[in-house]
Amino acid sequence: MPKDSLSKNLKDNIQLIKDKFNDDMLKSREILNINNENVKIALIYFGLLVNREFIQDSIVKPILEYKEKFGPKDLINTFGRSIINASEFEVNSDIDEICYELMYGKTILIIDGYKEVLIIETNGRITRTPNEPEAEMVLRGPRGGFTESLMNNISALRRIILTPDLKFIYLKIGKETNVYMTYTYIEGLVDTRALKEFEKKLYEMKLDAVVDSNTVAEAISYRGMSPLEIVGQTERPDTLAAKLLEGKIGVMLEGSPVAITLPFLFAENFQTNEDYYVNTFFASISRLARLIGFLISTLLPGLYVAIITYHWEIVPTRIALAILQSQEGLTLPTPIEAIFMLGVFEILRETGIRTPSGLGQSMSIVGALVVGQSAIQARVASPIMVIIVALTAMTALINYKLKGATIFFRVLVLFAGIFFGLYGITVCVYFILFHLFSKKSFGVQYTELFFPFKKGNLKDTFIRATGEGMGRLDDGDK
Amino acid sequence: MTVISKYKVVLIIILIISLTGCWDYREMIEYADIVSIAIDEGTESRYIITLEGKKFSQSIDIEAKAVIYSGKANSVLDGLRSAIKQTGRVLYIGSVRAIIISEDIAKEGVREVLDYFIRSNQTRLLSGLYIARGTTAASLIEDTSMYSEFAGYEIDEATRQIELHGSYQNENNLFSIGDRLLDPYKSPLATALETRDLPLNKKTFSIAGIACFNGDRLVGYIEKDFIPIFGVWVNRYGNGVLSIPCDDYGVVSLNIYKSKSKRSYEYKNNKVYLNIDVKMEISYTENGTNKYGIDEITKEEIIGHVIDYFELNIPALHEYAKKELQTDVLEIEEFFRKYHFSTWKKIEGTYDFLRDTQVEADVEVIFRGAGQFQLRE
Amino acid sequence: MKKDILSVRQTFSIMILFVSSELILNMGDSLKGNGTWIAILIARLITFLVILLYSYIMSYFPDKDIFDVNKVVLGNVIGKIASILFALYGIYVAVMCSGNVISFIKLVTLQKTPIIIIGSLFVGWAAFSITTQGGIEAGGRIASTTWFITVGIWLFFILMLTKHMDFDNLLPILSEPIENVARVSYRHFSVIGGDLVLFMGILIDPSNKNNRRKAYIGSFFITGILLLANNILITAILGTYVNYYLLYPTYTALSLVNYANFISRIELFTSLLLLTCTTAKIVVGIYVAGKGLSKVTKIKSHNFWVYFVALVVLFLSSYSKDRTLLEKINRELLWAKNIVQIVIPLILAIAITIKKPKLAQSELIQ
Repeated sequence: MPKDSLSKNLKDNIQLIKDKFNDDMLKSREILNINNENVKIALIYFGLLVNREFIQDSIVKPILEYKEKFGPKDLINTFGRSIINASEFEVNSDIDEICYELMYGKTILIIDGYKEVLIIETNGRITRTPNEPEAEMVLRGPRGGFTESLMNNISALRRIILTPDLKFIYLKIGKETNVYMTYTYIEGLVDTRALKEFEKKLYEMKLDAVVDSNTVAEAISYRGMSPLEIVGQTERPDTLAAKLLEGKIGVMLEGSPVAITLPFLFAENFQTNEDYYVNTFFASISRLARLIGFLISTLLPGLYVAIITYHWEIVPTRIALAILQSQEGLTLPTPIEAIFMLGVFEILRETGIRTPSGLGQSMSIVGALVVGQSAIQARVASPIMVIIVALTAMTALINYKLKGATIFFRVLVLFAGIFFGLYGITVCVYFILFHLFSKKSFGVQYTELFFPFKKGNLKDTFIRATGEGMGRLDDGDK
Repeated sequence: MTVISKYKVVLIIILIISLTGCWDYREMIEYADIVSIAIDEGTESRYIITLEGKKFSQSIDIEAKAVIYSGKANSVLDGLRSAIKQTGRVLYIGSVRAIIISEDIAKEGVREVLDYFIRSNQTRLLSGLYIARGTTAASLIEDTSMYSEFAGYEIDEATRQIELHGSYQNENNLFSIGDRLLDPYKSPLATALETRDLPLNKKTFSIAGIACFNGDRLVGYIEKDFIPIFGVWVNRYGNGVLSIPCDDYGVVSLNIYKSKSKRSYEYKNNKVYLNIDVKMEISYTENGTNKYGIDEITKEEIIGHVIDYFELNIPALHEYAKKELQTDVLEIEEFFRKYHFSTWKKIEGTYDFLRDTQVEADVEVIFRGAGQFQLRE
Repeated sequence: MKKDILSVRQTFSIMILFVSSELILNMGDSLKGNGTWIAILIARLITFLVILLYSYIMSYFPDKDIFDVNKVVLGNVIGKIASILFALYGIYVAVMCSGNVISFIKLVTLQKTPIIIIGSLFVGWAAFSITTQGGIEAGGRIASTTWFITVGIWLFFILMLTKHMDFDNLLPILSEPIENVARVSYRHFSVIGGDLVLFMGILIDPSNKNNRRKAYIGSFFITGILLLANNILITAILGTYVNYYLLYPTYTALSLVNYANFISRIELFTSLLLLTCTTAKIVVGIYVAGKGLSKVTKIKSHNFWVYFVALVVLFLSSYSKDRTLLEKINRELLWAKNIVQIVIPLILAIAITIKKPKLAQSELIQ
């Protein structure tokens, strides 16, 4: 069957396009200029996707009010250059391209007698106002955020980095969704090794449907069995700009407010943009708190169970007395108690996210009652275990980016502690360290900024040094 | 499946096997937590072991109570196990604060008794070791506690405070005694305790001197009055309070800030001369005499009392060690060996360091002050 | 960095961890009287000469390891025999080390757990760390981070024992006859210093032929200070007699820490840290043995040999009957170790010096 293609007949072309979509929202409108009655012109567009005022003022009105003859030939280009009032237009005859552009909110201008059409930028899709993202709120600093519109996001980024070296490369991905994607970097600053590796992965990627940037992120990362991410995600233009200025690459997708940054290093899990907007001492303390929080959240339950069941002599006398007092008459062995309490917390956390805000408050009260007082009174859990789980829970939420990894490592360490005591935990921690140190994110060592301790790196890891500029990634082969 | 992943599976299987069974897993509550151990000589068996353990109630609001267990056996470990047999719990001596041995056993030798405690890795090496003087060891842990529920805690903390208050802190923990037992040139020293009756049929404990050993046998005690002298002699006398008897007029109390003794030896004419130079910083705190009024004592008199006290009593302690203890607890040979090894090597075994050494003391006192009131010049 | 090639800093760090295992396990010997620190000093001097020898040999072959060097310098047949001896030595070191670790853990905490379970934990960990994605290079990077944490924590806790230190315990300076000192010194070298021969089996950054010397000598000074300081301080805390009779003096010394009855019994944490050092030793032993066997035999897969050697180490260190033979080598037949530690390297050095003109044309990099 021959491929569909445009003809020189206006009505046939209109019908062809309408048949492609079979959608009532696809509107067509014929325009007749009194001074050029022999020239038949039609517009096709999706009603909800276009800016109708723009079509009215910048396309229809100029055509209708044109007082002279259009000209004998190359009317398509004449219209684009001289008659209509659009900032962007394109001439095309590929029916698939034309259909894609229609879906993108553009208007097609067809002239009878021409196979080519004029594709005019009239995007009027409703997007939401850029709000500060909930997961990346700051006390002090810019309040912007990305939206689902790629163009808005690009313009937000351009407003921050005013240099022609900021490059955007556009492509379409997803066999079914054909979504616009762009990757961006600053020429001269970018880590060329990482860029090469990323581009290689990108062009090898085969995706059917892409609705969110996370799909792209998973496709380009070769994570294996690791819970740690090698691509970062952000919804803030200032964060993305900062990463680009460090030599990283950003990826944005139409329809997703989440931008991906790569390479992503382990140290970045503990960095927030707010660190650079506030006083250095406060920032350093916050950063240390995050690091310590990560360690507590991962190690505390396992350590507690290991010490209580294998290495009781470590516990100072008075604390041992208090623990013994609280353990008397408990119905569950310590490891089961720990697993039970941690499991209940995870269920409560998940319920809290999924429940509409009205019910959420009731759930938190139920949770507090169940996990707290009643469990202790019923001798299902000891007060010390409730404190341990509460601490673990609170510190887990400090590092939102690491939530998956924290839970995974916590479970590993807990089971290592249950079965082998502190020696098992040591071995488990070393397994995790080996995994961390072996990992690479697009050619860069995952622990590049942390280890080994280099004076330059320490400026922005455990602390945030005064006057810290955005450092560059090493471009060497280490 | 590649060759490499097969071996990874084997590795994983080995690791999984290691998860089967937790041989050393134990809940805290399965332990019988012992606070203090008393070892007495038995009649039907070699030892009578009395333990002070902890008993908890199921309600968090009620505090733990002390409970006494007792057992008889021919070895210490058997005695410990038979004592806690009725609880159905596992013996745990990691929290023991006080091990009290009766005088009779100590006279026969403590090495056998301490063997188990020194070898076991569960034991706290800083557990205090005490000798029960004039009483059974068991009586010291039964009902002698006044402020806390457990006699063991109270004995341990109180002896440290009392000794600190009295300036000389005896190292009576398991480690130092074990160290002194192994070292052929040192003698073990343990704190001796005795019971003291209180009104209303109560009793408590008090320090009854320092128990001295020859090898591992108890030979005698350094009495309480000699303890500061002994502390100064061995240069382990620190901050604290010293009460000096003043003829028949009572005591003068002083605060000791610093005390340093330097022992120097001289070997001439086949004789060893030991000179102890004492340097002490004191301040005057209390006039416990009926001779001096509040403003009648002078600085020179105080210094004089201190110098006389030490210069007379240091040789007196030496005489006491020679006659009563007959053991070199004063570390005379040990220090001579350290600082004059070659000379010691020549006279080793032929010279009686305790008896034949000539001892002299020189005391220098630095007077710091007398509190808020000035002293008469 | 490639998977198998370590940088100077990484080698330096692994060497420090390698020797730091002695801080807790005390596989050397000590005198009943005073003077062990003198014996250690003498042993370190001998070790210095020996590591100069190793770095001399390897400076002619910066991009090769000892197995390749054996082949080039000693020829195919003798070279193979020498390589097999090195590989067996690697297995021996791993077995002794893992056996000591297992005994230590069994004494200290896990008394009821079967030996093979404890052994499988450590040997499995060692095998995993060699065959993981990052290889020994990832281990080197971890070592370059954790070595000063380990040493720092050891130092911190030892300094907490300052009030227990009595430096009079070190007097008289030498109370033992010189033969005993020489015996302890020889044992110390053979058991601790001489094991560094295994590092000739690990590749280091070949960009500069002096890289090995830098790593060896740098770590030598630090480990020398550590070992001496450990001995002197522990003797000051425990006294010489207790030090002599105890199986693990450092562990016992650390159990004396007690601050306000709150910080006490911290010996377990320090033993954990120091056990990671022994794992570094097991890793190096298994790695070198696996490498040697893969180069000498027809099966060229390093990973296969690593797992095989790990299983051999596991079973040999778990079954005391087999260990007794190996312990005999450790106690009475130390000269057998010296063959690999001194004799073979000496032969190599002499052969290289003689063959230098011939080798310069083909295999040597000057």
